[in-house]
Amino acid sequence: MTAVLEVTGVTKRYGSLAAVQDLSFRLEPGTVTGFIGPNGAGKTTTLRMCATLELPDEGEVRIAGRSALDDPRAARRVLGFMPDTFGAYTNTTVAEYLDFFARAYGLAGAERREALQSVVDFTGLAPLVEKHTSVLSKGMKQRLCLAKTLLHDPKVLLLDEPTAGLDPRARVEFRDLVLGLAQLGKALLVSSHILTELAEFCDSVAIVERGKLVAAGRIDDVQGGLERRQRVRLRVLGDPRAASLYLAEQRNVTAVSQEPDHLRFELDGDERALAELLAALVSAGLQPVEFSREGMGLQDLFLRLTGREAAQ
Amino acid sequence: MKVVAEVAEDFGDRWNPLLVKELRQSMRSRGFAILFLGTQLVAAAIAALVLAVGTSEPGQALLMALGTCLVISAVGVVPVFAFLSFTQEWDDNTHDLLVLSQLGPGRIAFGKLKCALLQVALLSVSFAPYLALGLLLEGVDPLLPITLLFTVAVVSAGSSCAAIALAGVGRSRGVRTVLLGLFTVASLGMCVFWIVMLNGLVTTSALLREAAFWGWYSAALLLVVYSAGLCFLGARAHLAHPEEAPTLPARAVAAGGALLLPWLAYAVPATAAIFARSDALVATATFFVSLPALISFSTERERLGRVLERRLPKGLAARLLLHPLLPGGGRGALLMLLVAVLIGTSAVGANKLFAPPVGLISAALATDMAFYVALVAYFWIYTSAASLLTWRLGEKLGWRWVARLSVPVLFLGGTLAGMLIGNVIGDELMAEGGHLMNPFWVLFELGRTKTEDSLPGLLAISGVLLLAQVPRWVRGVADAERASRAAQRARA
Repeated sequence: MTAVLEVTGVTKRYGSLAAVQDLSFRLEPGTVTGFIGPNGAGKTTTLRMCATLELPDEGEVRIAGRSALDDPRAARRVLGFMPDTFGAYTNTTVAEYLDFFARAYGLAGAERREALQSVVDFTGLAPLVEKHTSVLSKGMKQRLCLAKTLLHDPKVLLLDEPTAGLDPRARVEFRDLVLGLAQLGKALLVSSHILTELAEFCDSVAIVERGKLVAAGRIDDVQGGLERRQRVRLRVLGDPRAASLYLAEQRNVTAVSQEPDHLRFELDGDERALAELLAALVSAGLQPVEFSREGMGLQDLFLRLTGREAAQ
Repeated sequence: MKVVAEVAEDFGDRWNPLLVKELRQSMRSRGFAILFLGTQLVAAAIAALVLAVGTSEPGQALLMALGTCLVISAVGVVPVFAFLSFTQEWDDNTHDLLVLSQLGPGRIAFGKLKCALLQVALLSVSFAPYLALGLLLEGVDPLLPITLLFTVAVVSAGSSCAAIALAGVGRSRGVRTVLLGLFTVASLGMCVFWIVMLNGLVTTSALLREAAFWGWYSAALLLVVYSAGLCFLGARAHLAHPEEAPTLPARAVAAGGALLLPWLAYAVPATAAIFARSDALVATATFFVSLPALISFSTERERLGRVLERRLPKGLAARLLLHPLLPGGGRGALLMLLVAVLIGTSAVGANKLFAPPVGLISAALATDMAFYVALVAYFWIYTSAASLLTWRLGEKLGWRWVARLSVPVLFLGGTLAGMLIGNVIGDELMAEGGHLMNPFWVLFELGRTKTEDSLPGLLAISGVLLLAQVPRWVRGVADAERASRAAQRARA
């Protein structure tokens, strides 16, 4: 698939400090990529470089096939950036705020009215349009900021810590909005510290540590790349001991443990090995009713990757 | 009703969005309402007082009082509002959102300027009835209120441009507070200057019928417009993406202004005999007009545009030749030297074309040459020193302002240091400022005595500073080569 955002070998230095070093990743349409890293890892700097707010010292950022560095204005037409701090004007209502940015994005007449209606409906801000921005809750401010970011119908969305400070309900609502945007074919890069939450809506991850990319790609691929051994959970009809004995005889199966109603074991191999084992279990008449890979949580993945990086 | 509302909204599409937004905000804010109503009350009170007291020249008294109020509000307060309006974008975290919109840096800066101009227009309209009343009373030249309103509008717009440019500089609150303090003091100074000037004009309105007055008035307003233009371009540069070569227009205007000034300075006296030619005045004006370019050129560390960078020839020899012209290689100082040489050449050309017959003789031309060689030498001394300082300190962004300040510090410090040394060693002339590091004294003396005693000293200092640039060029070329090899390795 054609990437809508391609970051290649990007480096940014502030004096002697290298905030971002040789960073490369890509975003495809309709995907949500979690941009993960501890404080000071260079997430915001990277997002700002992608958003044409900072100029990298080295490397290239291409948005929709065009260099964002050579032609930042063209890039800004197809990207939406939602900073970590909400920018609100005093003495302004929600409608006026959105109207201002619609005009600022060059939308006029009926086109502007349609865009405003569309983003207000999508973000559920309709009941609040006459309210002053200063009285909005944090969650509503984030919705307003997202609405502003969507006004010019960008293809790429860069969201910097969008759920920071939101209550659980607002987080769930925001997650639904993000998934809705991905369904509309937009490519989203979402930076966040709340990894359990990112795991719910991200297809891919890009993990950074001290300005360097530790891993990038689909979560499964990153997990697979990290470790060949897979943890598998198995439940069979009837006596699990037979299944336990069968597994113990397999060469690529280790650490078989029996729980009250299921078995856990580790399989040394890829997805093909997993499929072959399942077929073998069925052939042996063991009647599996549950056979699932227990993936590493995003949090485990992050900690293992950044731990490995720190160790290196 | 919906159709009417839509038509009204669509009418706003032709306006700058910032103007529409700020108008909406102003409707709800207290600041401008207080200023507007306050000035109205003061104007009404003044009119009532003047009519009640019954002075011998009631029209003049009314105009002086109203002029003072208008200058204070339009020149003193409106630009401060413009400053605060721009800094509010930083405080509200909306600056980046604005930059990312399709408004573009020019429209953002112009939007803020338009808001200030609209405020001045509203203030002027509110004062108009009282000014008309002044005209009906005795002793007021009809040109006076028009001149007053026009001057206030131009000066207010100029100050607002400066305010927007300054506000764009300071990202941190501390810097902004300092800048606001300095700007407020400067605005007060501007108010005092224009109040004195306008009140002087009210009492001696016969000046309005003299060509000489209009010459100086035009020159003063031209300087305001020129400075405002530079400030506007500076503000635009701060808002633009670094790849858009944002400072190029400002530098081109600054250099162009510096080149044009000698022509104006010679052409105006040549065509209108009432303006006496003064080399010292020309030099002073050239120096101040060139100052923004001087500071900007010599302290720049911007990257060369990526597209341009790709087209540069590769290889050690080419780099050695080109490095002094590349960012970080001291090209700012060298470009400024080139501009200074062009100014000198331009001045000599202007002198040849416009000077009276006596000025065309070779001796006068040689003196002019010496005069401008000295000017160029001073340009080089300040810019190359600032450029070296930028090279040493500019890596840390926070220190770049130190390098920028170094130009006026070197100029003032050099002048004062010479005077101090003069006091210590008991040299009366030096103690009074008659020494090599006081450019105004040297240039004035060159113009007056037609001798070139100071030139060898100045050229020697310039040569030393040129040699001082060599290590950075060598190191710069080595760094560039190393980075190039590292990039090649990384690509491989």
